[in-house]
Amino acid sequence: MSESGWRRLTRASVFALRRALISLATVLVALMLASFLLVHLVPGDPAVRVAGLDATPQDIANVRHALGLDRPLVVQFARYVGNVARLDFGKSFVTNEPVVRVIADRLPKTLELAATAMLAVMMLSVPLGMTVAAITRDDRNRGFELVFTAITATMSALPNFLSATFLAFAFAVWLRWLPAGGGERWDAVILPAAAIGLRPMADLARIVRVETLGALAQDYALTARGKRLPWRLIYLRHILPNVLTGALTIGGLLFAGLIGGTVVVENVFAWPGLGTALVQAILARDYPVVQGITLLLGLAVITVNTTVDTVLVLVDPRSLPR
Amino acid sequence: MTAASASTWRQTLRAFLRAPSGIPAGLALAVLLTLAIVAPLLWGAAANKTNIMHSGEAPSPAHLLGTDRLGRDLLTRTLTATRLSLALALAATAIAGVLGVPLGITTALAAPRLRAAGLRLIDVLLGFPGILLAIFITAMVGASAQGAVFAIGIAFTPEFARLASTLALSVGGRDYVAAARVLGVGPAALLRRHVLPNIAETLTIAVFSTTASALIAISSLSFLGLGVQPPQFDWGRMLVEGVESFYATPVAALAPATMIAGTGLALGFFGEALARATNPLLWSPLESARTRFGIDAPSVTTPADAPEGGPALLRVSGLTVSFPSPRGRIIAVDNVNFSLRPAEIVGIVGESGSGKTQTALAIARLVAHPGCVEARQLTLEGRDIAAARTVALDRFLGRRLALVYQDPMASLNPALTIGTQVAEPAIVHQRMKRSAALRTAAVRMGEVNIPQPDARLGQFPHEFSGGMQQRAMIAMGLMNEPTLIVADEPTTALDVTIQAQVIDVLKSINAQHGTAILLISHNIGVIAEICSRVLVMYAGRIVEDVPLASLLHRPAHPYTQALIDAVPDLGSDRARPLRTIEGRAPDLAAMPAGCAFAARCSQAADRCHQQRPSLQSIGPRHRAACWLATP
Amino acid sequence: MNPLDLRGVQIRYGRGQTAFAAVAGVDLAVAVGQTHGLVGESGSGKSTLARAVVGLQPVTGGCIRVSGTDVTNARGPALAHLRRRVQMVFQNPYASLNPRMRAGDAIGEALRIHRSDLPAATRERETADLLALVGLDPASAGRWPHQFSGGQRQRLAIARALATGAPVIVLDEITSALDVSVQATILNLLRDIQRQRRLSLLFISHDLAVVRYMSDVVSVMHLGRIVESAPTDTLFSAPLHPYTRALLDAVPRLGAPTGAPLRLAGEVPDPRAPPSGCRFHSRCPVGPQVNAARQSCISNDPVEQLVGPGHRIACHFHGLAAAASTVDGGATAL
Repeated sequence: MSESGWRRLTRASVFALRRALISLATVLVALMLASFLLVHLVPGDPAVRVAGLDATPQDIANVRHALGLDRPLVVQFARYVGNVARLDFGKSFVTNEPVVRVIADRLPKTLELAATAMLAVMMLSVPLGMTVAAITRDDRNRGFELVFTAITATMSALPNFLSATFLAFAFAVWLRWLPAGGGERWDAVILPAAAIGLRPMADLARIVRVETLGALAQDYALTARGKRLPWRLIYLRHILPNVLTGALTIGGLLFAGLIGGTVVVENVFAWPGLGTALVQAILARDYPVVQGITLLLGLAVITVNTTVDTVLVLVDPRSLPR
Repeated sequence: MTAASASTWRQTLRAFLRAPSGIPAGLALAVLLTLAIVAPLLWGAAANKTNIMHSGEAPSPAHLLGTDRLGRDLLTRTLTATRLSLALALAATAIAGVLGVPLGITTALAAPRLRAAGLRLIDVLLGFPGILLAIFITAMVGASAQGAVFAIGIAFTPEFARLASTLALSVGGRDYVAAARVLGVGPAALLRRHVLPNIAETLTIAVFSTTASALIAISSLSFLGLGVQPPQFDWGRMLVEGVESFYATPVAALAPATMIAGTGLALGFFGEALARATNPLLWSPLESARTRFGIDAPSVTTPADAPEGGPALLRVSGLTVSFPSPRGRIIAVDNVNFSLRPAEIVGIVGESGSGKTQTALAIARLVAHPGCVEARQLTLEGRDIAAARTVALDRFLGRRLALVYQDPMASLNPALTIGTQVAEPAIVHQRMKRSAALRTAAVRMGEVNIPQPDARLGQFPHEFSGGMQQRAMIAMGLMNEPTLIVADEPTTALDVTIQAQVIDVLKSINAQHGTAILLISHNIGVIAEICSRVLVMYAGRIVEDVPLASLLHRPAHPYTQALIDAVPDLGSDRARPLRTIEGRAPDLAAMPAGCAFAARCSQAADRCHQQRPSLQSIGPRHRAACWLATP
Repeated sequence: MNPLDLRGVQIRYGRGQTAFAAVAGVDLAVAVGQTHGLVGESGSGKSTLARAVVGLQPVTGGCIRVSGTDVTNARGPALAHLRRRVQMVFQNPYASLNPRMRAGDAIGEALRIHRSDLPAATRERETADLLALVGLDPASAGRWPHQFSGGQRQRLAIARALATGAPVIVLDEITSALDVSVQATILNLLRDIQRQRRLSLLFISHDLAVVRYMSDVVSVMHLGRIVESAPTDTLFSAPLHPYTRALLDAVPRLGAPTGAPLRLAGEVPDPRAPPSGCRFHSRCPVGPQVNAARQSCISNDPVEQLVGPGHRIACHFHGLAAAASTVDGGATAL
């Protein structure tokens, strides 16, 4: 029974890592299969598309052979997996540029945007949610609670392309404080990040408030009050760790949603990231690019979810099987 | 359907109307539905009439919201788009529900291993952003309204599956499902009669919030050019067109934007109001029309008994705890008077609703908002502890008063080590160094018979058994060497052999440190094991204050006697039925004028029903609130 | 042929390394019109056993017979036989009634399944009669569970079990969620009905005084085993197993305690990893922790033996313990 904190952590890490690797591998296979099938399920013959509309049947057959499209699906999939492992995602149907180059060009901009938004969400909504919970605990200040609920509900009912448009109008066109386009200025990231972050921030703040109220209603909060601890100890030492577990779980899901939001919002601000490239590629039926970008975004989502899972096991002393 | 079912509907409706957001959200949805039906019929033609001569006009009497680039009237277009926008969102939700709910329920009912795998898969899918999944699917099926509906439907399926599986798992584990299985209810009837009715409403509510999300998601797809294609138009499509001329005519974008956000809000709030309305726990089970404000029982109090042999440690006089409720003020503790001498162990015994826990919380100043505590006198060691909260008072209470609660697992913070929690009072109130405090904590834990206390400081509460947890709570209380421990049902959650150990620990603390203990319990046996004096509470009042010896042999109040007789003990005559107390305790919001127990008392006289008896001295250190009790 | 007969019942949870037996070989019989009390602390496996008896929990060894028919892990006709003859009342009356089903419908469902020959009108009358039998207003058939108090709900649950006409009823901690004054009315009610209908009851509780009051025969369960079983008067006046004696001594009582009580040290062991040999040896006040000569407790699992009329015990040294207690007048010698 007596086990040092360090040993517990080691045991937890092993447990968490094993769990993470299993789910990561499963999902990775599923994701690859889905993105592989994308090209095969879409209407139209990819060989025709590559060869061009004026190609002769012989040309098409050659292309089909060159691309390996005449082999059994299993062989094609194996080849696809091999290619992906070598970071070879094929070439764009439209520009003939290697897909990996398209991604390399655009990934940093998307990362910048998503990371800024995520950071802002985490930094703002946890203190906000806890503060509001402290003010509205035990059904105090019902009016304030109503205002908070109304504002956060409105924020989460706004599609992020809408808040993007509103923000652009207010701050770029009307007030002229910030640039509206994805230029090189450092502050160009503020508006798109805000547009992406508003919804998750509202959601997370609401959840943190509910979690905090839940923790305050627990007996251990009564114990802490019974010990006459100063309020900062009650909230920071006794409540916060219990709230963070919940916030982190949701935070992972929100970050996944945030990546989805990036795709949409980038298009409003003409932000030269993966999202704009993805939409253009879909409209142009440029499947290799679609395939590459979705695979990458999916991977990002899975990585985040797995990381959150792992961190949760590490921070929550109860999650270990005895 | 019978009259009773109609009354259920009336109650649901009443609860719905009481939710503040229910009415506006319901009205908004009604308007939207009407628009969806009639708008295309009335204005469909006008909405599609192009007029290049009037392109991009500002609002005017002819065009209340102005016109778009092709000179089409924006107001009629916005209203006409209601049908398509709502229809697409509903269709996508329907797909998600039809696929997701059976998937979730099937997963929940599957064999354990399959179920675990299925739940994990649903979780993984859920972690994948819906819009990304939808974009991916759109890429396959092509950009069109049908494609968008299909894509969003599929993308939202995991959400329904997860909800349905969670609900089915939780309901499936309930005792009433087990009871139905024992009765022999077949699987189909089990699902139809016991599982579905209990998950249907949560699923219905989810339909509303999912429809709102679907509306937003489809608009997003339309906005990206991946959804509705011209000449069809929904709000999302109008928004694309509006955004292109946003700086010239912002109304063109603002109108559909407002509709999307407004519809989303209405759906969300409606769902929430529905959730409140269909929760029967929020309907008041007792609909008493009588409401009373204030205590109009005469203030019949005798001064707290004068303690013999020195000043009282704790003195409680005129303590009243009340809570506002729709039925009037609920008086949980009604004008309670007693005192404790140093090193005395006094018990408070009573059934649920007797006010024993609220009395303890009031002494500790922990009554929850919006409870109202009044007292003529509340002093510990002669110091007024009912005074306004100050740092000095907090420190005083933190050092002199310790608390132990019923459920030790819940009372310890699961995220902090035992050492941190036990040492904390000394660090905070004695300004002890952390290392010194931890050393003291180990000593205190040894005192309450926790083996290897040093090694256990670094453990978390879940690594302790229930008895160990309760001992850790007591050790924590001992850190500042308090003069009084208030223990609220400290052994109720424990096994009988562990209960005996904890009682022994409390006894030895009292003997070694001279700490007074106020022990609250429903178990008169536990009280008798350790206390020298017992306060019997009924309906918020102390009905008897009796030394242990008199409790056993000569209880003065009929309720005390009835309480003792109702509990079988190891010497009960098994041939005879147990004594029962007919009727129920009175409604705390509408107390009778006389003795609270009169209605259930076999000896009650007229006077008992009319006049409230005060707690009178009837012998040495023996008080009773009963007209029949004589000295 | 007893209405309920358990032989060597074993219930294992989990698989592989984490597997453990929550019930490790239990023999128990309930005779016609008899109340068999089963008492034990948390982790003793008494509730698992209760669920197994009514078929809610698969059994991994031994057999359960109901009026002579084997119903172990029953399906088909045997399951129908079990359902017809054995019913259960659960601990928490707030959880065991479907919140979406009216009082009358809950009873009606049982009548419809088990007495399907009844015409609708008779069924309604029967429902009213059952409500009256358990002391509820027959007019309350149309009310929802949340409109009843805890005690009333438990009466309703009893009425539902009676509606099936089952001669055996398993009662799992049915009063532990109730106030003491309500408990008394439920216990009285149950005893009255049992006498009227000659029911056989398996009465499970952690409360020794309640078990004593209700039962004709009592079995004491510890970590998945029955350690002692005897007619009620024998068990409570002359307990032989040290665990039984410690349990009795731990019960807080109103009267002045006689002599120094026998206290168990330490915690209840984790049922997932019970001690070797006699499962009680790590806490036994007369076992190897105290008396170094008694090493057999650590290595050998005691076999149950008959020591008196209906009195069975599983302890290597019960004879010595009994002798010690008679000589020294109680637990002081232990």
